[in-house]
Amino acid sequence: MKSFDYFAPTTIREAVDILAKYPDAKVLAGGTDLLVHMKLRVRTPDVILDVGRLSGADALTIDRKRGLTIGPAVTMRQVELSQAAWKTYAGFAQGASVVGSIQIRNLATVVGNVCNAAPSADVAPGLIALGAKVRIAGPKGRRSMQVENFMTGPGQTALQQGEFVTGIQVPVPAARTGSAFVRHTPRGAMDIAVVGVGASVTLAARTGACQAARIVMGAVAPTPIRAKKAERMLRGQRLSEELIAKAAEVASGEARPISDVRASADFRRELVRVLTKRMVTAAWEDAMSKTRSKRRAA
Amino acid sequence: MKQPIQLTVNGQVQEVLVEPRKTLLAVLRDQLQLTGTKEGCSTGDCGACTVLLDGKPVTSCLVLAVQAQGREVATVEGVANGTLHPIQKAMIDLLGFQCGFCTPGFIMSSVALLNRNPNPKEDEIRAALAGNLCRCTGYTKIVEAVKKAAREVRQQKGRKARKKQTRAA
Repeated sequence: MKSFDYFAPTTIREAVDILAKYPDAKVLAGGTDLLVHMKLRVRTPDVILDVGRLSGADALTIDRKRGLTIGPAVTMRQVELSQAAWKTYAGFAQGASVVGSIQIRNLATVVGNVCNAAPSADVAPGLIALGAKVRIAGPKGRRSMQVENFMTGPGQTALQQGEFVTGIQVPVPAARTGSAFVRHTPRGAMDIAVVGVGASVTLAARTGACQAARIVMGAVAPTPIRAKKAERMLRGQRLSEELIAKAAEVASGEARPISDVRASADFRRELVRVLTKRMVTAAWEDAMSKTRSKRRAA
Repeated sequence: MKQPIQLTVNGQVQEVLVEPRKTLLAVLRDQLQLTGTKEGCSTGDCGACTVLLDGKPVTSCLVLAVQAQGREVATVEGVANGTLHPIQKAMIDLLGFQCGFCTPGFIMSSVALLNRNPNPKEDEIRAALAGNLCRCTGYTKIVEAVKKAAREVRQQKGRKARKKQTRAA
């Protein structure tokens, strides 16, 4: 690798100052993307800003009001091993648990995966299905935005000069909300998603009808995208296998895949159809299991 | 510009002067002469460079040495403590290696697995080793070695627990 200067500040203020002083600095979290790029000399920063020593960087906490708080150094493995994350944010936990291998998951971070902004980012569909927000710090202060709007293209985000992501917040899901995620890969590990689908379903209290639904498709467009037409088909309706199958067909039409080494566009469209059906069903079942436990608790 | 770092390697505190661009793998091998950890791919795909960082298996080719400041590293050189670890013995007894290049990585991943789960099912073993590639063996004997090692680890734990009981009685 080319030589660089390395900073590992402990406060956000310090970090913002360093980014202001060195406009071409790159932020380092897990290093599983950045260091690979640097070894290949695809990226050759003169300055590295490590977010791993920021106060609270590796905190993964759940709060009844604020939901799930994910610090910038929280690893995929931390999420994978968090019962609390699986219980309430299954679609997100599932995405984190399939990245790479155990060794990679012990280094790779959730925030890094989102900031790397690959269209196939495994945590993105689940996070977007659950309405997650990125928290940003920069020279003009703090701001936050939906993960959905944060990823703007392959490898591109909405970060402005001098800004970096200080964490991700996933709100408390509405009552009776379930989520799920799956990706298709030829290998069982150490692979990149051919297609990923994340879904969330919220059931209405008395009728059990679908009050809200999100379907998020990964690796079939320049960024993870929502299948909004398919979502509208489900909203307000009583769910059924038939309806879900129809919505999955519509979602497949909303995908904009390319053909590449991993798959043809046609195969990707078919995968979207199949995986959307499975994930909406799984999210529905996850939501119903919460309804049942609510009744048991009552 | 070199930076002094302090890290604990196999229980011993080490102080080294490192360039920020040096990986933990490079420092272990070139500066600490612990050449048991191997460089297979440099990109975190093969697992030959697996070490335990604060007890967790990581690919050391993707860790900057400066990131290991103040942390604990375990390499294959520290796995035996007087006697071979059950996984090392099982790898030898069952011939879970041929050229041996991937073996240190497999040993570290297996040690981590047995530390967190001394009774793994076969699919759990394969999932735990998914980040370690072997070009020689076809994996069958490696998996069998882990199963054998797991039995030995459970037996050792049983003996230890019974000894404790006898002493307490």
